[in-house]
Amino acid sequence: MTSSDMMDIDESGTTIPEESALPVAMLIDELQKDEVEVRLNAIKKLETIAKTLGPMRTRDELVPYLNELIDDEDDVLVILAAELAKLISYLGGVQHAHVLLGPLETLCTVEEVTVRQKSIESMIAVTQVIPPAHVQGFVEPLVARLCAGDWFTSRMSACGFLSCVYRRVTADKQPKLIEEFVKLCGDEAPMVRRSACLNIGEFSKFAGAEATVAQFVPALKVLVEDDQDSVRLLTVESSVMIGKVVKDTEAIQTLLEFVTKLCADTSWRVRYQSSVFMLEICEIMGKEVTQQKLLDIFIELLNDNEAEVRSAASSKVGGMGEIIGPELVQEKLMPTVKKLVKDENKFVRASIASVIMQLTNVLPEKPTQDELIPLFLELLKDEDSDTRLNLISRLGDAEMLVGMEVMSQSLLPAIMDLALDGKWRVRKAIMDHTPALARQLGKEFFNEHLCGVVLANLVDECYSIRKATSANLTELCRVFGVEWACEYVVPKVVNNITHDNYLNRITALFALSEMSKVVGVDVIKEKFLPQIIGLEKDPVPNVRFSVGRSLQQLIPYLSSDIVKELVLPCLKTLSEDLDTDVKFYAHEAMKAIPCK
Amino acid sequence: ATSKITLWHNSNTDNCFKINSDSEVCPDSVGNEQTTVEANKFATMSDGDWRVTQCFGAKQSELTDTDDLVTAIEFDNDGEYLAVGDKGGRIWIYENSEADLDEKEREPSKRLEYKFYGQFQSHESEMDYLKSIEIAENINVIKWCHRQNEALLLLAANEKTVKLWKIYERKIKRLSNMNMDNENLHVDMSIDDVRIPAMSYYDTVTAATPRRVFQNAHDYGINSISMNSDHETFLSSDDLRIYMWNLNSDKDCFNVVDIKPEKMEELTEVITSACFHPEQCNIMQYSTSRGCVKLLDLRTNVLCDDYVKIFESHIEEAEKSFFSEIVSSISDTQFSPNGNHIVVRDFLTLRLWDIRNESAPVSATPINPDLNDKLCDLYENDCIFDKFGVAASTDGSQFLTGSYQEQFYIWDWKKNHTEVVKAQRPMQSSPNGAKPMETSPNPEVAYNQKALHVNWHPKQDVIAVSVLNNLYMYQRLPAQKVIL
Amino acid sequence: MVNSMEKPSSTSSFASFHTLDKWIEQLYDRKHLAEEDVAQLCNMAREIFIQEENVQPVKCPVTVCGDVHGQFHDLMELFRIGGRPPDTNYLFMGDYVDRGYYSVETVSLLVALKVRYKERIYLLRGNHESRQITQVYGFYDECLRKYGNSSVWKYFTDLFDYLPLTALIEEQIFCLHGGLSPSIDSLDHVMSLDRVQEVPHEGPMCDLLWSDPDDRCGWGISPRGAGYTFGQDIADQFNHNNGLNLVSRAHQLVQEGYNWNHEKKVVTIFSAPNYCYRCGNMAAIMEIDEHIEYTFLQFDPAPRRGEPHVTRRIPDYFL
Repeated sequence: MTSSDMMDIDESGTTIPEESALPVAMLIDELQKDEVEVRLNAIKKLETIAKTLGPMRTRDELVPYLNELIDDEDDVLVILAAELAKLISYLGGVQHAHVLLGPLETLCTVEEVTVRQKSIESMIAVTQVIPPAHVQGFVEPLVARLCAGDWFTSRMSACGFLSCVYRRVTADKQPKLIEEFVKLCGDEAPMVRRSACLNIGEFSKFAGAEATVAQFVPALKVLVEDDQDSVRLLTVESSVMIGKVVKDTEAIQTLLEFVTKLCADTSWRVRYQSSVFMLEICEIMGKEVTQQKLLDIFIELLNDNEAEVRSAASSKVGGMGEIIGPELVQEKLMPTVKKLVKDENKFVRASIASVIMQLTNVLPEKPTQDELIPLFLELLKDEDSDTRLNLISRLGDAEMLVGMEVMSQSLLPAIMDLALDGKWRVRKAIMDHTPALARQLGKEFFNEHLCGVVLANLVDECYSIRKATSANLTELCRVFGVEWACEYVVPKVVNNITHDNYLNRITALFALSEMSKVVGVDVIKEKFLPQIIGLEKDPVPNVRFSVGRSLQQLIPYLSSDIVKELVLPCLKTLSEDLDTDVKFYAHEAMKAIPCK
Repeated sequence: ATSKITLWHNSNTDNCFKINSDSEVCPDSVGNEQTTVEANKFATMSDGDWRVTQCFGAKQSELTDTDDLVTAIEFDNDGEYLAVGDKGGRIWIYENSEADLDEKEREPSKRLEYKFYGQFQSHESEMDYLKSIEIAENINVIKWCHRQNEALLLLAANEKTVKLWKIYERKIKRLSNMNMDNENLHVDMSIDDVRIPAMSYYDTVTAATPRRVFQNAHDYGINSISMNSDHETFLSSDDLRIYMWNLNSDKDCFNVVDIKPEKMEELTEVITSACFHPEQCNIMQYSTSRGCVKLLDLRTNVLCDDYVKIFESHIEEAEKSFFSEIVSSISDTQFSPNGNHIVVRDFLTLRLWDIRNESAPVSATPINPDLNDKLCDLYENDCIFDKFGVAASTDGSQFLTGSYQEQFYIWDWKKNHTEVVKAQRPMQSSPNGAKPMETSPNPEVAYNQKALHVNWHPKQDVIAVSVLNNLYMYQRLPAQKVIL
Repeated sequence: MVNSMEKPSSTSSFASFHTLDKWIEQLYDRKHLAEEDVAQLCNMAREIFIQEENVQPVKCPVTVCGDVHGQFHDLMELFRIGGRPPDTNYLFMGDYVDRGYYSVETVSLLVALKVRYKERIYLLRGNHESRQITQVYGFYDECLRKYGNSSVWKYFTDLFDYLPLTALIEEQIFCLHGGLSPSIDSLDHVMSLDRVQEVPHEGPMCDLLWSDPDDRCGWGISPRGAGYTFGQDIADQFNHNNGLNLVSRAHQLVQEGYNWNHEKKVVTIFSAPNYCYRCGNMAAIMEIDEHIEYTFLQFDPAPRRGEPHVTRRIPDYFL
């Protein structure tokens, strides 16, 4: 018997007194059970165990015992590392929290990265609450051990832990901790240097501008010039983080040199990362530097020989445009954007297509008309469906396009194309965008050009499209209102109620019950209900039980009179059907009828 | 949760290591003075002689189980451990017998001895249900990972699957004072009756547990794996593709090189081995069946189907024969420890390239020169396709590769000197201290006595060479007076 | 509850539905059932299959599917295109297990759906629904790997003995896994077979699960070592004798997912796209509506199949 079995007994009525310690006794035994699931479950209940045992036994007996559990599987250790931090409140005050550091120290040197991460988090949580004397007595020696550890895992953990310790030690000891960190920045193991890169920004935040300029910027310089591109690529983000801390222009100038170097790195990985962080870099360096210097660097990245770099940089074109302003966009950015629209790599085109709309908000009307619109039109005809989709899905970003004749004219074929694509996922994606498109293009245009396509999808050969269309019609009803729905949508759906193919009749039923969420009781009663009930004698059982299911969905929107008068008789008929499934759904629906 | 744990007792090794009476070393054995076959041709090295120090495995006359054939040898990064893979999918681990001593406490010129540390079943034979073929358990490659804590980590691959193994000392626990043994265990028990079990340790076992399994990526057989100097990523290569993995994830895998042509009829070469540069994380090389080595720079592009340098020896038109293409296929390549050179082994040559110079090799030495006339036989019995490994010495001045008749070659390229050694067991003390070399000019080459797998200790002149099921350990020791 | 309503008499038959729905939901998430749940499921399924005929009559509308072979992700894709049961009715023509990575989940889901919606979905026996074949092509090992013992394999292979061999849609379309047999000329003969046994190495039952159509006339020796090949003359004769319009079968990889043989008297349907994760074929299903009109729906593999995900774009772990 396990403790979870006992819970079952409990539920089934066998009484275990509330104050019984039996479940906890069982849980404690289960911490060492052979089955991983049982151990995991027990460890997740450490708080319960600790609460029952009381503070003294928790720290004197339970925690030392937990320390012996650390040769377990990774899945268990991750949970243990997280649960240990929760025990802080069950130890009888923060003056005892340090007992948790023992097991956590062991955990942060295991080879599984997720366990180490979790145990550092917990170690930080403990360090933040313990009394100053204990920081000195327990944490300082601990962090010193980690820094001097033989294995790189312990030194990696030190990188993540140092900044937290820094905040807790007395001022006279702080420089020493910075020194330790800087030492780790030059560690022989690349994994430690990587960990240093990941943590240097966070540490500098706490160390303040002065110490950062004096210590971390030089340390970062070494990392920026590391032999391993696996290290260098992380320094892009570190530079950004440090840039947010330092104030004086000289240091910013140094950081600018770093990022300039990184943007022109021999390794695509580093240039890729530089592209990813380009906008953050610009923010730190300011508008002027961006316009004068970073823009050119950015354009280099947009013209990189590696497509993945071009693709990452392309996704920043919109943001960059907003920073540099219309003149520079036109003068410097546009020539490259024009090239990217024709890039041989489809990922690059898809990337530029997802942001190019943003430029309409930057450029004045004339260049938008003359230069951007032709690019949109080109992308709308792109052979890659993702590119077209990306563009269309961002129409909302470009308010000025609303009602622009040329756009609507070209959009239409592109949308039609996607709506008829051979791949159902493409058809579904465009279908999912129709409510947004409808908002953008307006009722009139939609009615005239798109409504038919959307409605045609109700009888698409692919089930997922039929389902998505029903949901989208509901959304469209929200956009254009009930009157519109009654005029344009309902007749078509109702028409499908008598479709030749049972799958389409089922879709029609589904669409009606979906739209019931928005059309209001009158429409349901007048237009939907008769149609749905009309199918109660359909020769195909699947249609009949769909009637039951639809009625169940309608019930919440209907008055009890209508239910009694119209719905219930139909459900009764269905509940006497010869087909099991028809009966089942009829009964389910009847159960949904609220009691008087 | 797929983990299978193999346990064995350290204290009781003879149960596990079946066959090893010969591995005991006779301290005054001098039986290897005769190992220089062509002693007149090559002078004794001034800095010492290669002496056999140990031999693991049953005598070949006792070889009954082909599962015992050695298929991979690899020293770890410090040379403290040696892993040996076999045809039966097992991995045997040997430990420096002085592993417990600090380097300072060790005698510098002392004979290095390895003792059995443990063995576990890494791979088992399985069916590839997709292709309906059997995948043998045979360990193709072993590579050690950088140590992250007390545990040892290594990667082992058979034809299709790479596994990351953790080998560690596991304490055997004994639990007592459990609650379930408590007579007070009942629903009305109070908290005072609840006990925390006591744990005691009564033994340690060495355990091996698979941490990750990197599988279902390779369409063809794996020929190499190689750890990157970033300590985090590694590659695995098969005939047509090279994949990159992260040790922390067996869910994603990046196909960095793909040389598969659109039509298989257009296939002109296959990848025969691949490895990373020892220091530069972005440089890797692969060798092909057409006798060339391609150097890749991972910095240049995401996909590295194109190379940045190619090292290719051209065969003179006049020398071309039916066999020239086959024998020029490269069976193994390695970077020198500093990464400046690439050593290349084809069937009849060991060749050294400077990675800065694509025009011609720095040096080359013939291996098996007398086999040149026997290529027909070798083709008949398939030996011409044998894949001999190559290993570099610590300073990159010497290279080790194997041959037939239990011989292996140690080539000092700077001195242009080649030593040929015939693998022999350490002698049990014999009256003269040496066994006369059999010099009968037997024209029959012992093709099955091949030394396919070799490895060089990362810090010392200690090498490991395998012939069939035997693993020979040799060490260069200060010259002793030769007794003839 | 509305006062006037009586407690439905058939409620008790719905009792097991709750458990089944739970299992089905779990299986849709690709999480296999607990061993004891599989035992229970197989017991429930056997009671249903025992009731079914060797030539199980099936009504229109129904969607007919071919081999799935443990390609769970692709079965999900099939349902995304064809619709999930019970909305759409299905007839699967065997080979649920072996070769793919998720035989356990695939067959568990299909059997659970069968038990939950026995009039909405029909499962026939394929040549892989056998003890012998599953020990060679993966299902056995997969059970061992996922459960640590062979019990689940035993539950399923014992159940497979009860699967119907063939189905007849509206007296017109004869459906089976393999093909015709020289020892069978009428459906009555099929009806009379004792099917509850391991698939034999020869004889009529074996042939139904192993045979293939061939361009040559008459009967031929099958290269598979079991069953026969049959020519158009044989199919014509069989259809004529039994008043059939079409023989619908699976068993063979066809590049487009479906393939007409014998001047549209025989059709092959194969529902495992990119078979064995490398054949590059499309899959198909055949929708037959209530007017016995049929439409073929083809589909590509689901975007992600199997582990690991092999990519030629930048993986996150390089950054």
